[in-house]
Amino acid sequence: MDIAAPRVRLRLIGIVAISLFVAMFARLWFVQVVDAETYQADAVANIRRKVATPAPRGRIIDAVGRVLVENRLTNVLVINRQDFRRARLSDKEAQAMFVRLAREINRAGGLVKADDLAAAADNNNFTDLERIPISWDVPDDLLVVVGERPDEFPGMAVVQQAVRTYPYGNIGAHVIGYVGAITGGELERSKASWEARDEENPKPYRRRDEIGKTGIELLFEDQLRGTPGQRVFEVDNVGNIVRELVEERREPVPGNDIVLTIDIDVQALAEDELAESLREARKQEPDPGEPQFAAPAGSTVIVDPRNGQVLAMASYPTFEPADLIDGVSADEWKQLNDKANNSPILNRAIQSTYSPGSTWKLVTSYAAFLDNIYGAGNVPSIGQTIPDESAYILQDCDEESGSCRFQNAGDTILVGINLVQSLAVSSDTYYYRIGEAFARRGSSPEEHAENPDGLVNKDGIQETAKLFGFGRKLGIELPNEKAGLVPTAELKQQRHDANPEAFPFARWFVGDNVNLAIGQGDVGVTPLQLANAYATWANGGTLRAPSVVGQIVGPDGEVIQDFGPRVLSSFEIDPEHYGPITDGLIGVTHQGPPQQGTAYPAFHSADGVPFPLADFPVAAKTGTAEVNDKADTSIFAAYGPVARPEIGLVDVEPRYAVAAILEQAGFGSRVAAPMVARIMLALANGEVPPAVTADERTAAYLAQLDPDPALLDLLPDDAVLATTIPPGAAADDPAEADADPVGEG
Amino acid sequence: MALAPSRSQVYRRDRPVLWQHIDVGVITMVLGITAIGVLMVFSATRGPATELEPANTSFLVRQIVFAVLGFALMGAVAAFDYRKLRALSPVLYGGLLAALAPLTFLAVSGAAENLFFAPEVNGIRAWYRLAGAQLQPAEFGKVVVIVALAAFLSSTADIDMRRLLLGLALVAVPVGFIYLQPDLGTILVFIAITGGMVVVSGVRPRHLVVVLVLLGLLVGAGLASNQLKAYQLARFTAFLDESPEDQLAIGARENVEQAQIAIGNGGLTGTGLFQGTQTRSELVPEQQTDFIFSVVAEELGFIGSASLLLLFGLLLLRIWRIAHLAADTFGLLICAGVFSMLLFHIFQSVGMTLGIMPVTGIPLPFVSYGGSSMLTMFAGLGLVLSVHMHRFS
Repeated sequence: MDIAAPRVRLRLIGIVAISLFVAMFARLWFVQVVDAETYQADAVANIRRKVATPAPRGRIIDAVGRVLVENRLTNVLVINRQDFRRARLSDKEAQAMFVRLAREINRAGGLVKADDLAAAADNNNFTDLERIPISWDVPDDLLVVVGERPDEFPGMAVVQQAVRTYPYGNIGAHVIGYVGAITGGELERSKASWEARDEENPKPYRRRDEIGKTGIELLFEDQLRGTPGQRVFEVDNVGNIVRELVEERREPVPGNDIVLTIDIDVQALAEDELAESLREARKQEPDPGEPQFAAPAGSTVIVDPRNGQVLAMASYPTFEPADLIDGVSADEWKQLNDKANNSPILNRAIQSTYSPGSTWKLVTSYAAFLDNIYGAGNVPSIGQTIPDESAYILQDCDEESGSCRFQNAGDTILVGINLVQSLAVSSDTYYYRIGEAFARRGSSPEEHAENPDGLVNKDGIQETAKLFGFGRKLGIELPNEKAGLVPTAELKQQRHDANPEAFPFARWFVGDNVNLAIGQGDVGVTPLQLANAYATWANGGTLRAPSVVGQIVGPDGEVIQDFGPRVLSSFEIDPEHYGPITDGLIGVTHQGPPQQGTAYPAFHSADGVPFPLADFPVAAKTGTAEVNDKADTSIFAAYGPVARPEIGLVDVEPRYAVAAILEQAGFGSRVAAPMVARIMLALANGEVPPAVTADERTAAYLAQLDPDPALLDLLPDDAVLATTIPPGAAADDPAEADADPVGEG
Repeated sequence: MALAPSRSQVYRRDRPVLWQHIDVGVITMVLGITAIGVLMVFSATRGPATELEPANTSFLVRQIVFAVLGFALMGAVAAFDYRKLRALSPVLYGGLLAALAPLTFLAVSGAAENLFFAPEVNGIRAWYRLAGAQLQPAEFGKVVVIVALAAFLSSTADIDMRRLLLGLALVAVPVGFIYLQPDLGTILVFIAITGGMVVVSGVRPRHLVVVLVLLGLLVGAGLASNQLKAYQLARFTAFLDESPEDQLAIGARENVEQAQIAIGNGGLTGTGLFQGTQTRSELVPEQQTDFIFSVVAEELGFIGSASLLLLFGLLLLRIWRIAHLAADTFGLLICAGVFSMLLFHIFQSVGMTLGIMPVTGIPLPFVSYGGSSMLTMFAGLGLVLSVHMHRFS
């Protein structure tokens, strides 16, 4: 064979080789140079996994710096499924491990079931990169047991995690609110996924995140919520962590603290007094045929008239925020919201509206000044006295509205009633006349606008109510505030037009005005509005938006925002008007027998500490609102200390305006007034007892069970037992409940 | 006056004449390629290399050992006069069949998977386990077949149809054994070697057509039969199907896509040695063996991977030149065989990671981790060097 032929043929495979190399170079150039960016983007997505690190939520602090809500570190048993799988346990071995784990927890004093642990470990809401909580509040012993025996408990760890804790238990629960896991709807509304986070939206929500549900926790969610950190891991083809990209790690930033205007001691006092007064009210015997004093619910609010700050805001019944941290079950939810159960979640101070009853007379009496009603028509002029025969028959009554005869709440006959006395002893007939006068003499708003001084405004009472902040949301920093209702002829017409069956009458009757004049009928106010209205009168006409939040403070202690007083509107009070009305309000508490002020007994209780009216004069008004088929609402509004130049007390200005509304509890003078008197007594004397912390409550409860003090010393500082004690257990001490009610009369 | 011997005279006298004709080009290229390979195997196998878990060096050490052994083997083979192999070729060929037969028998009879001396790996029974090392007779078989086929094709001046068919049969017997094991990649290498050598041997063009038709039928029949493993077929077809539906094919497609992401991630300059994120995350399967080129491309970039290809190209050029200079047809055909073997290995291994060839696992010569492949490739180069060095003797 001639070697020449193969040499020629060699060229063939040379050409093949060259073409194959050209193909490889071309493809390589395409992948690595032309299309590199696409592949590089894929490469990054391939290997990076972002994991969020939770940030501690901000605290909620009272006006004096006491922490009301903070984060407690608790032991959480977690599982890392990646490590767990590496151990390659058979199903049987895995089950045995969970049984061992449950046994260890139970031995150390916890209470779990092995099946629950296994189920929690299977939670599909978590990725394998996360530490999945499978048991909360596990005893400290587990730190050692699990930590030192990794072979026995593969993938398990006990980590410390922050959870919401409430040093003062349920005190202030309605203001504080509660937190819980974010729901699908809330997540949807937050409109930002974790991946889409950016400068403008640095802390979007993810599933399982904690979110405020009510109260401050809800309204200041953005401030309280910390900015989660992130850790970026490089993972391999099966998701195992190869390394952490440390340069991309972002540390979590704790949320801001919210400093309230609430003083927790005052708050605790208000809550205790409210619960106690309702309990006492239930013991009253109704007159034959009258409804029972069920006294199921109530609210009291204390506002500082000088700046609108809310010192206390109590609502009864209440709830335990600590019980709701780990989620609200359907039963709990029903329990909290059920009307039959008096909706404990409801913050009655801002979310319930009531007829203000005679406390409304502040508005009516002032309206009568503004529209020159005194001395007009059937209304006596200032200084003129009339008898109150406990009933009044409207003039020229057409009977269409159903009634022309209006009856006082009681049938007591009062004498020498002028403006001051009408307030001090609460004469209704005096105000029937004013209401009637507004209806009969009032001109339309248009006519009134043309001649404001000459003509009476038909809506004079309603217009004046606006000055005091009724019928509108006051803008307190709490969610779901109600506006209440100040009825007008227009409104009545509108409601009739919208729903003729529910509102059969379109016309505004004289009787409507008469009812309005004494705070009955459709008029609805919240306890906060009532307190704030009296604060407005007390400070001389400045209507402020009440506030519960004083400051927002950053995690480093720097004040981020300082909430000053917010003035909504103001009006100048003519001393000619201010004098008689205030005298009337002072008379309510000061005027003794024979015709005593309605709250005179409450402030002159025979037993107990005498109220220092000389140093701390209280101006007030009782109210008793009628409710269909139910016992009366017991109402009281007061403020003090009020200056009384006539006794030489000039250097004071009112620091407290208090309103109390107790449902189905009877006369304002009997229930609400004594309660407010007790609260104001403590405030006046500077003797507000310190609020009882949850730990102290636990200790007291335990001491009741077993009075051996040595045992108490053995209790850990953060005794978990607190949550297992029924709310108010300590206060339900029978010895305490038998104590004589104070200020009855 | 006695003249001192010139420096060159001393030099010449001290060195054996044989090594004077060694091809430095081949040595340089192969050393460069092997060095890159050792580094890349280390990069592919060192693991995350954290403080807690130091880099895994076991693959590195073994690859270095393989390379040193291979280099020594190349030297030994080069020193041996290739012409003596003509007489030895029946012995070598017989030895190959004797080594393949037991594995084939075990594969066909379906013996225990974990048989200690001949375990089954990925459904293939192609390895012997000897004193801790795994030997793959089919690997060495490539070189044996090159020698045997070269000896057969160069023994007569003219290659007629009968001779051609006999030559093909010579290859078909060991290929048949391997087919039953079944090792698809290796079979393709044999086909490539045979094709290259037959073309170069001077077979008449019309006979070549016959060979091509025969090969086509054979491949068709092979693919149609149930002999090949499902995953082998799936990988093979995945190359053609952009969005396969079969699970196995999807897996194969994903492998190729991951390899291309790694390669693309390298870009022009690469991520840097040991810095390849895809490599570090072991996202590409078999990255230290069949897919090693993705590691090179990711960490060294286009510049590095193209340089590696360039080194391969230059190595092939040297081999091609040695074939051209060969003293006889036997030597020339040996070189053509080794050339074809290397070319196919390179194109298949690189082409697979680049997505221009089907997925079937064969190593990238001198780069992929593995002793059998390393020794085979060095032995092949040794043959080429021998042809070069003995061309004047």
